[in-house]
Amino acid sequence: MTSARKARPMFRRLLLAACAAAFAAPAGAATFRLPAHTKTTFENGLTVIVMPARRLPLVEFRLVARAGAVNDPAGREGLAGLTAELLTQGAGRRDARQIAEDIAFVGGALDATASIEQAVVTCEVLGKDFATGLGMFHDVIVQPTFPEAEFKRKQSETLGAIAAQKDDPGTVANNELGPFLMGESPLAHPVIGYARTVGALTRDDAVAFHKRFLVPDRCILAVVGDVDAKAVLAALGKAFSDWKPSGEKPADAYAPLPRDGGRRVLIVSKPEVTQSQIRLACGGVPRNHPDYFAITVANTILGGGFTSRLVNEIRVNQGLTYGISSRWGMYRNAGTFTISTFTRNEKLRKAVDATLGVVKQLVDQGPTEQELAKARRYLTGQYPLGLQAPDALAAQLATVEFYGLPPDFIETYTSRVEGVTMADVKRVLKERFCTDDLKLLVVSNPKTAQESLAGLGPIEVKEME
Amino acid sequence: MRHLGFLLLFACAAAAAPGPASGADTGARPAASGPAEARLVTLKNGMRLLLAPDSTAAAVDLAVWVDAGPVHERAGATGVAHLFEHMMFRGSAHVAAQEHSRLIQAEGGTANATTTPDLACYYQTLPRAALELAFRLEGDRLASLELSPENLEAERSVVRDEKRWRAENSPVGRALQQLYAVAYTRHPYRWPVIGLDEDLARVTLEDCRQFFRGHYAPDNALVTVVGDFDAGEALGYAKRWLEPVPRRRVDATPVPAEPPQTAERRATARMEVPVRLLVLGWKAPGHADPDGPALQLLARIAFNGPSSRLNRALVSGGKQSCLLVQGGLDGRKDAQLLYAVAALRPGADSARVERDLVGEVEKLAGEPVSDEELDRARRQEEIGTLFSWQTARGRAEALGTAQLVDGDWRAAGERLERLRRLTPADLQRAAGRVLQAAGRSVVWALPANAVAQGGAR
Repeated sequence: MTSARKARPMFRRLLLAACAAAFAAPAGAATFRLPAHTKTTFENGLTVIVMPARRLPLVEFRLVARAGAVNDPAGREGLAGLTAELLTQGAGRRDARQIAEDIAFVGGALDATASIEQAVVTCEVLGKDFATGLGMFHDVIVQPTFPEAEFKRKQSETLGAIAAQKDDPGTVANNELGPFLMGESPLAHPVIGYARTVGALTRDDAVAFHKRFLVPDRCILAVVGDVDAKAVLAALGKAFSDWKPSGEKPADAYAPLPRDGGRRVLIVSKPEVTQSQIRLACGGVPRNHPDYFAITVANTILGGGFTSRLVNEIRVNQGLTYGISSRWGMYRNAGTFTISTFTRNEKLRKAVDATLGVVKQLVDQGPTEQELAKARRYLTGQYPLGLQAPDALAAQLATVEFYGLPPDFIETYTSRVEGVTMADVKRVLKERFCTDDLKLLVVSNPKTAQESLAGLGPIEVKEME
Repeated sequence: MRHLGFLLLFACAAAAAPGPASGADTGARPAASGPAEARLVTLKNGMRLLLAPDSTAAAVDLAVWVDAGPVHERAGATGVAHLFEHMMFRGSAHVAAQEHSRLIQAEGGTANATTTPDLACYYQTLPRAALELAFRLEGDRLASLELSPENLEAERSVVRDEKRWRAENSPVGRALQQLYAVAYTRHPYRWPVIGLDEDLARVTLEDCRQFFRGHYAPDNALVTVVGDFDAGEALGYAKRWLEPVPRRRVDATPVPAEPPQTAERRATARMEVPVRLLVLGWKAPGHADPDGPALQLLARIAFNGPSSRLNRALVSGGKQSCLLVQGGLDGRKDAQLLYAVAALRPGADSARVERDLVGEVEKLAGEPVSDEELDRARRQEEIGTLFSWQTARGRAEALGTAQLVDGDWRAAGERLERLRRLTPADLQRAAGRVLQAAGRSVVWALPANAVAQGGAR
């Protein structure tokens, strides 16, 4: 190593100091300017958001339905995902091939997927193909035909994907964490479902799920792009006038997750692995929680950013892993806090102890003022970068509506992040971040893992199905 | 041509301009015909600055484009341009190794770089408040890049790993490389962008220094700033951080010209491929040629998607002799290849597949495409272009490429305008220029451990 390289860290500090002084963002200056938009509720209960953004002659349609995996009936896990995928496999008078060909003809895209709480249908077309796009978008939402052959094909593809997931220890860990942490909660199972439940599904299940959950009073429709607000509202009103509401009050609330009970350990047995997957998790808060911003800032410091405490200590200083992060999953009525990492089997205990140590130290002592400033800066800088394209804007507008966030959430994001104080961060670290109650799941060799994790809490070993 | 383009732009803007829609259009603008309006400024040291401010954008992208790609390499030192791209992140007078990316990430931004056959581009997308940091970091490495033996060895090993990884993971990529080696005899396009193995092993620090001195000079660079920023401020930052980079003499050695091809060229290579691959290329004029959009549409009509001609003829319907057929136009500056790759079904007759493929493609010169085919391809191309212009990064990419490869940033918008006006006759005429036996190259890539079936001559 040359002397020039040794001298580097000093230069770095000097530059950082210079940058901080010269380039500090004026507080509250960089507010995100959201183009004007309108929100309307149609007679059938459909919530419609329209945002003209005419920079480019493109239109983005996005439907968000309360029809996610959380709505899977018990014993039919995987139904929401399968139903969503089938929407584009036959609708109105088109079969799957015709849908693919017609959307390809206008150069557009038409997709449907489900996640934990949502089914999302998106359609992107040129402005001049608005009518074609709207027609197909409407059909896949309101008039899917669920052809038996397509059902069988998607079902078998899904079973294949479930089988393939068992080879990826990271996915195994994520899928097993839900039931381990949340037990019977409808949030617990993977969106893709289980082999035994997906295998038992029938076409009638998909038809019934669509009928019950893809109804206008459970949906938000956002249109962003090269449109005139009045004209697009008229066109949507006409197109979706045949869509009948369920009339049911949405009765799919579920309980918040407990976050006590001390440490439990689950070892998911995968004897052949040399790297152990590690998850540390506990119950969190729902998406519209008043502590959202304080938690987000605190989590950026702990394990959300590129230079977080967890990355610096576990990856850079101790070299125990190549990747470590912490994240908050926030849903309508509940949430989770999860730290994810992996390490060589022989370093398993060391990595777990070191990770718990980092969390505990931050919770006990709080961050430095510099860390807090860095986290605020990172978050306020990154947020608008993710909102450049109309599809991202449409998604964010729908999210605000779906979770009942303050209507000015997007515009005030920056000032709210900047308003998070040291006292706020210290408080949420103590009140919301778990330490002794973190549950530990590892995917590892059960023999070595049992030995190395002894003493952390009651250990259960689970064989893979 | 330029005047015509401007008039059309204007006409289009007027036609698309909407009436005021209940005040919902604040910050809105007429549907644009180009990625953005821009202004070109030249600094005292010769560095060009292309400014495209837009107060409705959510981010700003700053990119340094250097007219220094693999085309500027010499025999025996191939791979230097790409290796150099890696070296640019190894630190400079006031920035430690890899610190550039970390500082940009700390602001919520992203930074990266890319080397194409023609040029290198270093870019960062970031929030407006951090723009000066990007100017400062770019100025520092252009003025005082750290070229040490340790850095060279570190990046040499990274690049050789990258090359191995690519080779292992992309049989089609390796087969395509054979096509370039056959289609070009003198022009540097015959070499892989990442370099030849023997050259990567041999490259010296002096080669790197020479490349830096000869090509990384202010008058050989273009800086694009696109998105949410103030033009006056940006100009101030440029004067402060970029203008002091001393002017240097640019290495003016011309890129060796490729002699005209007069007959079909062929080669057969044995390599690690799972099935027989047939690779075809037709020589086409460089990226700025007015027939570019027509050639792009021809490639789409021939190869893109399940309803393309070759897919219908050889993959899904018709003869079913191939597992897949893909193709496109490579978009290079000095000359382009319209290329195709076919993976043969086991048992298919090689000679017949070649005859069918060549016949289907060259038929495009003999008769016009249908209106429906043209319409479909045009929409796909148009929507792809517009989608790429949604972000500041995408608009910067379009403007910078147009300026450096086509010679004028307005070329990006003009391409789209030309595309919108194309007729079946235009496509047929362009096909007639390009889809000829004399400009064709044919490469067979055959599995190394298997006896070839059929007649790969």
